[in-house]
Amino acid sequence: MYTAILLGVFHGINPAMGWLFAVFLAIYRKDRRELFRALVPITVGHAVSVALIVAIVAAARSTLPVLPIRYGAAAVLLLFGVYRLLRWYRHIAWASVNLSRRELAVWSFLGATSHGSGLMLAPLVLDLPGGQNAIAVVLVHSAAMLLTMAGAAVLVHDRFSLARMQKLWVNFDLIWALSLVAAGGLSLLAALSQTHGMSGMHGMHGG
Amino acid sequence: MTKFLGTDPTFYPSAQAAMEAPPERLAYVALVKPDGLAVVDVDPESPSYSRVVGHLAMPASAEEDELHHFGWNACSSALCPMAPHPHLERRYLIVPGLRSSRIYIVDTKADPRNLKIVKTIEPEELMRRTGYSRPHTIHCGPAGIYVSALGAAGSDEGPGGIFMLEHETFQPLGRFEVDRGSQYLGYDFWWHILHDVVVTSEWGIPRHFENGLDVNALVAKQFGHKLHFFDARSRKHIQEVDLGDDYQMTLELRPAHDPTKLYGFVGVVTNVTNLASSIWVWYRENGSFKVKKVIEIAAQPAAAADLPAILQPFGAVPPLVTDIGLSLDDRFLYASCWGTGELHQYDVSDPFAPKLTAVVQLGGVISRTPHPSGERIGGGPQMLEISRDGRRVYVTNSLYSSWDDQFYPEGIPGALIKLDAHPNGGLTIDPRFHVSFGDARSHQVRLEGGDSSTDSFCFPG
Repeated sequence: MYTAILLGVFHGINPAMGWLFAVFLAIYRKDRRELFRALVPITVGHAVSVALIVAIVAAARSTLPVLPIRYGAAAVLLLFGVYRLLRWYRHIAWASVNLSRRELAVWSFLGATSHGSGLMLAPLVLDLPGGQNAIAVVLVHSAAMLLTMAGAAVLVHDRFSLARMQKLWVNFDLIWALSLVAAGGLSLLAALSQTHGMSGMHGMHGG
Repeated sequence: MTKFLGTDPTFYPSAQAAMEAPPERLAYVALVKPDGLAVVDVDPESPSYSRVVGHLAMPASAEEDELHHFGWNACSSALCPMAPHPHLERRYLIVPGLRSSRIYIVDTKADPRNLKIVKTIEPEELMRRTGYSRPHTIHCGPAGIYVSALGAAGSDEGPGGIFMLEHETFQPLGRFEVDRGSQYLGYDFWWHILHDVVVTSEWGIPRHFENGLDVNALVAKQFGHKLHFFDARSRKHIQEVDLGDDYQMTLELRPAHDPTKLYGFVGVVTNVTNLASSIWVWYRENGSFKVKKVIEIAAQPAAAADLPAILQPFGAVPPLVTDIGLSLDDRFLYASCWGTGELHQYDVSDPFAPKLTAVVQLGGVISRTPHPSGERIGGGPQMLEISRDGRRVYVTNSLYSSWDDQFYPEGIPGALIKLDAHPNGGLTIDPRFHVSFGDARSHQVRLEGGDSSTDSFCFPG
């Protein structure tokens, strides 16, 4: 669960995931409440995207042996991570101030999906003891993300000038791509150790 | 070309921030005959102020490139919150050849005074991937680099349109329009970035302008007289606005820099009934776009004997407004009258009621006003660029090689001239700033760190 929270914080702090858009809308409409009005649909869109991937992984896990799913998740994460590493600057294109809340949720869903947000949680879901917890993972993750986004948005809106924000803006897209690769690597290690563990057991049986 | 911490300091969240940033120290000028890019020192503190401090000659090729307009790979739109690309850098100039359909990608960072071509998009590749030819205006946008084109691939006809280049690899990505509707002619384009609106203007088909102005086509009103509006998200044509076919050649588009505003200015070269130039405002009312003529500049009568052959039948010099510019505070609009040799400045605080605040004479078909330094000026004020702070205006004097020869048969020695703009209106030519490019002609100017026609801002104020 801590990992789900940490990933929620991590996703929340990425400006491309939504808080920057919320700050912008508040500045544009000269209304601080816009921060929170925007963050809710953004969180919903993100949560739906993550839940979709988590559901697929959880379903696969309940029907298939865990080891091939581990390898599969590792391969997808590594491949997607390398792709993002090479094309970290790609984003979905136009979105405007005229977005309705539903469109804002769709925007967030597309952003989260194209960034592989849910994928990052796949290894975590595979390590869960029961299917029930998968829903908890999504909820905890989303709550952590919402709180982080709200914190970042309020901080930047109230305390930072845009000029200061520009100086502190780290290349989150690159960090993100590296995280995908790292999650893939960890998943692969887990799969390998599990394979070794099994072959070790086979060896013992043979002796 | 990627930064890890902090964004490029020349990306400005708002027009206000761009005005307050440090002023430009270098200007890049497109040269024609022969094709090249000149680097001019515009830092008054520098010992080489007002001199050419660098020159990039384009590689010799069978046909002329005719460098014309050009722009940056990335700009302030990278800070737009819906699709931030904060770690791009304003580093490469995207320099199309209007005649050759070749595009050069030029690095300004390795050594800002010693430009280097890092990539060339050959005409065949451009046409194959986009279906267009004669690339013209460059704008750095939220999803890539947008380029307008005047002709169809491998043809002297239309349709012209817009295509895109990939942000990092500069690979041509194909055409922008999903549905072009009634749009056929191309020229300039820009957008209301927060409102998902792209606006395009019309010059003519290459057959009517490439080998000189086709006067018969002009008299027959075959040049463009419309604006087109596209939805930027669906890339579909949503509306055309016709100025009326007496108005020929709707060229430069200058939308308000304030992203909350939904209006802009378009310059019209001539009216076939009286040779006047005009400037119109487009604006949105009740969900649809409308236009209104707000400035008209009359032709000046002249004796046929004093006129070049192309103008003799008309007995007048048309103003030929061929470039306009809008200061970043949306307060002053400038218009180049390339025929009569004048630069006009208007206060457009109320865009529907412009006030003429200055007229400066330079060159001109009849007046031939010299520079205050005594230098002869061939041609007249043409491409103009306003510094971000709005205090300086740079102008060059060539329009388009084959048209130059028709209107100024005695030749146009390329020049870059600087004017000082007074904060509350008024213009003075800087007598100490006259950059000569010899026999080469000069066209568009770009300023270090962006200028008043390069950047789109998402944050208001």
